[in-house]
Amino acid sequence: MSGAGERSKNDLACTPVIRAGQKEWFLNLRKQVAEGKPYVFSEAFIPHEILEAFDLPYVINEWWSGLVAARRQSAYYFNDLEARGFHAGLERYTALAYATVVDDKNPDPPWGGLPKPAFIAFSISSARPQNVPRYEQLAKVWGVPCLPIEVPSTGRPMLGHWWEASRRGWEQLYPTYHLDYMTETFKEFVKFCEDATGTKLDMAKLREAVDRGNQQQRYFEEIRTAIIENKSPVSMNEQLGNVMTIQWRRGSEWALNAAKMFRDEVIERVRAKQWLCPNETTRLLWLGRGLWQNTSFYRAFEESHGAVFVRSMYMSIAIDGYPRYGRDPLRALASRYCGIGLLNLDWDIHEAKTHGVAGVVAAADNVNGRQRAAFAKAGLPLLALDVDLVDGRTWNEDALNNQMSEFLEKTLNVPRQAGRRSSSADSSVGTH
Amino acid sequence: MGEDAGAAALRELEQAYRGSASAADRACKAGERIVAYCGQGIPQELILAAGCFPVALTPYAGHPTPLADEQFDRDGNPWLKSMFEQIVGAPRDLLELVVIGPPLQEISVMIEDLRRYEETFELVTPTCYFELALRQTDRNSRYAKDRTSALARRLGTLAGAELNTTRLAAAIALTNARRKSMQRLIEARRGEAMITGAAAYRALGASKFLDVEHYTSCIDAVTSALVVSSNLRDRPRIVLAPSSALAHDQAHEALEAAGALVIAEDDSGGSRSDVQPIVEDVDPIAAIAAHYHQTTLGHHIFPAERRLDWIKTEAIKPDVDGVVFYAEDSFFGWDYPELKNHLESHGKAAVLFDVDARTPAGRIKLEHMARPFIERLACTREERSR
Repeated sequence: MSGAGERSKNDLACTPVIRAGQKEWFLNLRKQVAEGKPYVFSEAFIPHEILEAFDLPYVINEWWSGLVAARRQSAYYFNDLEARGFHAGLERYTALAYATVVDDKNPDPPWGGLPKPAFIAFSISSARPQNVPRYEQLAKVWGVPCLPIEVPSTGRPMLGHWWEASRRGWEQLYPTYHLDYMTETFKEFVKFCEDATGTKLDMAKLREAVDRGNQQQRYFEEIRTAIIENKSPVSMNEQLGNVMTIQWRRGSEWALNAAKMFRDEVIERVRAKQWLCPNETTRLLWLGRGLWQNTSFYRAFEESHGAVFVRSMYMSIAIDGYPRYGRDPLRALASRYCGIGLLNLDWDIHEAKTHGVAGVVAAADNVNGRQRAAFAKAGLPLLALDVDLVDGRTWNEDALNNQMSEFLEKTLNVPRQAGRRSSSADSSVGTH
Repeated sequence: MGEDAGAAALRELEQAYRGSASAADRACKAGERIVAYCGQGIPQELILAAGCFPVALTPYAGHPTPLADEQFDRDGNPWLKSMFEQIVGAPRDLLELVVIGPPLQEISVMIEDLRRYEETFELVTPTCYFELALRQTDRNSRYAKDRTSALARRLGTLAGAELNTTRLAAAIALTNARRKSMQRLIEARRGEAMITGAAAYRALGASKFLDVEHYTSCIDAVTSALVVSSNLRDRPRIVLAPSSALAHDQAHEALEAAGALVIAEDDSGGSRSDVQPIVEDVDPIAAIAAHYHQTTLGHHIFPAERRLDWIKTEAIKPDVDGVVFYAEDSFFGWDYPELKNHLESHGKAAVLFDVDARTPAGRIKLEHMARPFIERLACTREERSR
């Protein structure tokens, strides 16, 4: 079974509402763009709050890539890219947006396809050189300008326990020269948006967008606390889906309301002791980027082993890495892009401990020896799965189930519960 | 190659290139204070002005990496592991400092993170990271000057004194002389067939491991002694476009074993070596900053016109028969279809090989993959010459 399997069942009433809201927003966006409204195509590592302050809607490359993968269309598009001369060895994770745009003859593009934006905003980093030619190619296909945001590296790790300082003490977290540079970079970004819209930045609107984003993360933080302090009331795949859908519209009223709706329902489930897996015995942490090609995998071992994935980096980085408070919202935002704390081992281990996980699981390409050693030192066994995060051609249901079962039973000593099988096509909810 | 002086110089350069792993050790034994560097765009002039000997660290195959094996995955990138090992495993007191540049930020971050948590890392050579923002804007020019000044201050602490104008100017004069000499060899390769691409590439690459003045005299001797080679004259002439700055000559060796002559490469270790002179009669820090801001290479350079200008211009010249794109990295190839169209529209055959020639098996595989392409070029070349 290659990347197949039934879609995972949603437990929360808000999940289909959030998803439908996003889809409705996108379909409306297509209509508005057809009527002349500008929008921006951007990557994840961009200060979207600035776009929000200009009333510029935006679509994010990583969201679109995840959408295509979740629709099990990645194999089709990767094959198409190869037919166009982009060799099979190219990095794929964020290539799907380009693939869907360049394949303009496909009768079934995801959600009708991506409309042409006013411009593309992306970051330039020597660590991700593929970004530049790919976004430039995309801009050429569309015939639109690029706004690159250059982010030279400092070559320095984040300070220890950065998550305790990031919200308000960010000025101390980064070298001042780097903060100054990124602040100036964002002024250039603002100027580009002013030229594109014919309006000046309203600093009050920017502050409001930043404040809404901060409040959104505070709602997520309440969800995280609920997960930590109780049996899990929400599945990993719903966490991933809801958090990322909301994050991709961070700073908007819609995102704030959606985050509140998500928070309210999770808290209500805790109050009603409505647990995701009543027989939860073992907690797991998913390390690194999400298994977007089949998120129902995260629920596949609840019934068989009482094993629940409780933490991924997405909600946690939204909570710890994104909020910024301060008198100068532009500089505060700039600090986020000086270094956001992802891939920081201290943080992953801190999160693992606070969530009470017994083990860590990741895709093999996302794990190195240092991580293994650090988790081992922290008493946390780690399993690296042989699977690509988005390429459906690499999915082997039996092999993955066997790897996980062995990890649970032999490494974590979690017994298989009598008569239960594991399956990434099977997810159910029970009430306590 | 005719004359003994040229041949001897070439042998010396080859030995320096092949023995790069012990370059720092040799220089240290000769009494030098060593500042190692790795990555792109590191201003050697600052190291020289600090009275230190700049030596490049480059990864090499088959290098035991016990320290790196603990930190990276068992299947982790062996080239990154080699770099990591050379830095953290360097004997105490061999290196004063390691200056790390892009795209090696991962190693820099990892080493400094380990240093603060692992007692065994506290005596690892100090590092500093140097990266410029390469878009050609006024702000980035100022950023380049700031970062260059900061690196100069850091190196000044090694020197025990500020890097003053006199020392900087002298360093620039030295490296400019080397640039001029390297440029002559690069230009000579585009003329009659006189030297294999692999040998030329090694000769150019040896600049990273030898005393600047001595290297300059060696490369001058090599270039002066070049004569037309009947063995090379009829080979198809190709431009090699690799996915990243090559730290090895294996791609050259494989393609030339398949029958080609590599006359140029889109690579900072070869034809795109740092040969543009630094302006000499202005503030040296400003001149050094401007130079590296304008000339540092990278596949993340924006816009495409700047990133692809060299390959689009050089590879369509009459002395080129074809272009081989060599992808040993997974980020490389997004420009390829466009470049292929451009080259073919100018009558130049192009092909991309997604293979890693850094292993013996990979090198043989590249040779086999390239052979049909090179043979077609040879036929075309022969038909044209009739």
